[in-house]
Amino acid sequence: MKMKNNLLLAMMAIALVFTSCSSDSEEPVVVNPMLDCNGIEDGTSLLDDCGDCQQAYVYNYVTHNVVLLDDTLAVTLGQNEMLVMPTDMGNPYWNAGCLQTPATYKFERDGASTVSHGGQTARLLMGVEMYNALKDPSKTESELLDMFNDGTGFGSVDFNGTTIDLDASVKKLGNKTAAYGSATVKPQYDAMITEAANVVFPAWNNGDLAAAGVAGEHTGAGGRTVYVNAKGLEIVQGFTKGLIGGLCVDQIVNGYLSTTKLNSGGNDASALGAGEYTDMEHYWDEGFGYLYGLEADVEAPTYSGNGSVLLNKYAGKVNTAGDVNMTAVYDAFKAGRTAIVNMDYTERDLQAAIVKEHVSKILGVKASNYLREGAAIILGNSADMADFFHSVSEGYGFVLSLQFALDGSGNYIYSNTEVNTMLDTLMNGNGLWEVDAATLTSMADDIDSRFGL
Amino acid sequence: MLKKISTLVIILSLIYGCGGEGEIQNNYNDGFDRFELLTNLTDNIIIPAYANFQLEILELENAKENFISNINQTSLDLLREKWLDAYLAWQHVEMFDINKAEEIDYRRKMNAYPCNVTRINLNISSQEYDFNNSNYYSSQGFPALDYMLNGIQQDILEAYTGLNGTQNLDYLSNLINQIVVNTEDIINEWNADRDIFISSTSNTATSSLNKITNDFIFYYEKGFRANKFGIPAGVFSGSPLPENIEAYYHNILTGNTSQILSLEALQAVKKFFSGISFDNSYQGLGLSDYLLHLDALNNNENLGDVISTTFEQAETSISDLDDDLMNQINTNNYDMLVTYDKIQAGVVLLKVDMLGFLSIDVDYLDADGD
Repeated sequence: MKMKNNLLLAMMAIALVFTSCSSDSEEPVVVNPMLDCNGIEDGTSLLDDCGDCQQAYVYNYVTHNVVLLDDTLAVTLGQNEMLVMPTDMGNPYWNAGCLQTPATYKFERDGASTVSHGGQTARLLMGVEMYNALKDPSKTESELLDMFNDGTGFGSVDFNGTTIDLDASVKKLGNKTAAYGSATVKPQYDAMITEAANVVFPAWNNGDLAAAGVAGEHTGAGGRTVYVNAKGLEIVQGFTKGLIGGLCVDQIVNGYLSTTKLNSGGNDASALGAGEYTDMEHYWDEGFGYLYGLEADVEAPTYSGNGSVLLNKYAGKVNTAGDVNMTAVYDAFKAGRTAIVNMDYTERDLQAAIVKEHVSKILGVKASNYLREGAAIILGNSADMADFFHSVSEGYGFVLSLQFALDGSGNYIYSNTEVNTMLDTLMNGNGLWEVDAATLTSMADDIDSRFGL
Repeated sequence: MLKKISTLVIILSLIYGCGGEGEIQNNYNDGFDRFELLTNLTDNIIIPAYANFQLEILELENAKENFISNINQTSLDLLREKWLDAYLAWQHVEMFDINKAEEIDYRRKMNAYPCNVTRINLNISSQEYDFNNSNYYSSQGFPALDYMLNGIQQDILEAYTGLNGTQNLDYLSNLINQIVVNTEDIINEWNADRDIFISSTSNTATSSLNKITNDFIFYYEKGFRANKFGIPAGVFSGSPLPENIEAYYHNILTGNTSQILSLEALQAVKKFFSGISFDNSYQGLGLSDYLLHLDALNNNENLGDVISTTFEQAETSISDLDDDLMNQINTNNYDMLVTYDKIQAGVVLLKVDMLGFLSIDVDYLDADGD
């Protein structure tokens, strides 16, 4: 009797174990049946690109009557009726609730604009002031470095009829320069500032004439006067063109429009009120701002807004020359921003890739242009060295910028090491005083081939 | 007899029926044994690293008591030695900024540097301070001890025997007591909640692996990359800040403390990534195994291998620097920045590539926002 009880106990225990195990493993299936977006188990409804639940329906093409279906199981079609599945081609309801890409970069929530890039506008204005300061030999090294790195010493400037106190904006150029590449790059910008203030400005103030190995002033036969370092580099040009890549392009292509950055921003707009925006929307707008932030009207870009000296100005040049289609860039910015509103991230990243490739190409085109321009000048009779220094100094800055450019697949086109090798080549020996046309041309050829120009 | 058999049957059926392949224990179904991974990380790395750290700080505490009762060069040297040993052991636990540690801001209390010397001196003279108030985070922990033991004044012994000797000694003692108390709280929690931690195998924002992996990457990015190299090298400021190196005062005495601590930290990073036990005796499952299981590739190479190679390159680069990182920054910051680049390469691989393959979301914000 006792033995029997034990056997029974054992059997029960085993049964219990098996029962509990099998119910454990099947639990998810029982508790969570596959519900479609309409709440129907194994139903046929699907979410469209902007999160609207679309049901299948029966459509009468004579009466235009629509009967929505929870499930297509056992549906019989009457005369003049057809079954329309959510994703069927020509289903007018699919994506009908999605925001359509607007004609201009105008996005609103409850009637108030959600587009904000004041920080970018402030930095681009600082870029203009920095450019002017590097052409003002009364500036000291610390004044210039404070402007660049601390965001102070700018004062107030006018923008679109509004006075903006740049010092109070708390924005800085330095901490956004070469932010995503090698950490060795940012000090190259600081070093240019230091050399401008400590080498070029004293020579300028002293009236020294430039020569190979000697910093100073040089006026060419055409009347242009440049102030160069001992290697013939017009630092203000190298620095400013370097910012086009190191600030504008880097922030757009490696920063704000990168999948990492965009995905780090929330995009739940459900609780937002008029004029409020999601982090992801804002990141995209900030990327937009580095290209369009100085436009008087971002809905009608002219690529010459408010004394722009950075990316916007050169975007205009390559657009006019037919080298880069800026309409395609503007359209991609619009379409990508629309995709964010629609929570369609595949489309967002597709449009981001278009922006990145085109914007990067501006750097390749201009680097190549200026190097070739320099080569043409010294190949001509009685070369104007002021024009030469100016062109190649612009080229130098654009070459510095190349390390931030991405190709269509999101890969860097030039590495930091390759860019440094090119810069070293330009500055070899007495620098621009002795670089030859063949060197400049072969550099331009390489850039053309890498960018597919 | 039969009773014994039946018990055996029950046990066997339990093992056989429920324990097979660990599937029941894993709530995230990509075929990888998250339970075993968490078990290895917890039992062979996290808990032993904390146990070791606790031993070191008990020795630090003893050396402090010894110093208080015999203030002389020998007891000071011993105290400094124990401080450095504990600081080295700390490098193995700083990354686990989770649960209790996160709740009490342990990492900030233990290793916020540079320490605030003005605040420390005010604390000493006023004797009014609250170590649990964030205003006082930078006047406690290892950096504050660094100042107290190596930088408080030219003649360190004089600081503890002279006019303010009692107050200084009192502050020194409180700093160490605070470390002991905070650490005990955390270790108690790990011991109590170990089972809960390792059985949280889902893939949600609050699952153990998601949190600890984020903490690991955050540490690599902030505690290791930025604090030890980026900030002193001036990556985030206009110009270099060499005085912001870790263990600044002790480094002046030895000329190598900061580098030694950073290399120790990198060992901790490598072990956690590859699942190597704290005592180096055993290699279990690590994140590298997870990547291998997922066949994660980077330019046709196994991503885990690529990341390990990056760690090796960073280590070589750090070792090749001047032993005195402050001297390195002051004489040739370029090389410091190149080292930073090598470390940064790992951030991208971990944060973008690895988390992408693991389908884990980043749970912290970049510090570079507008």
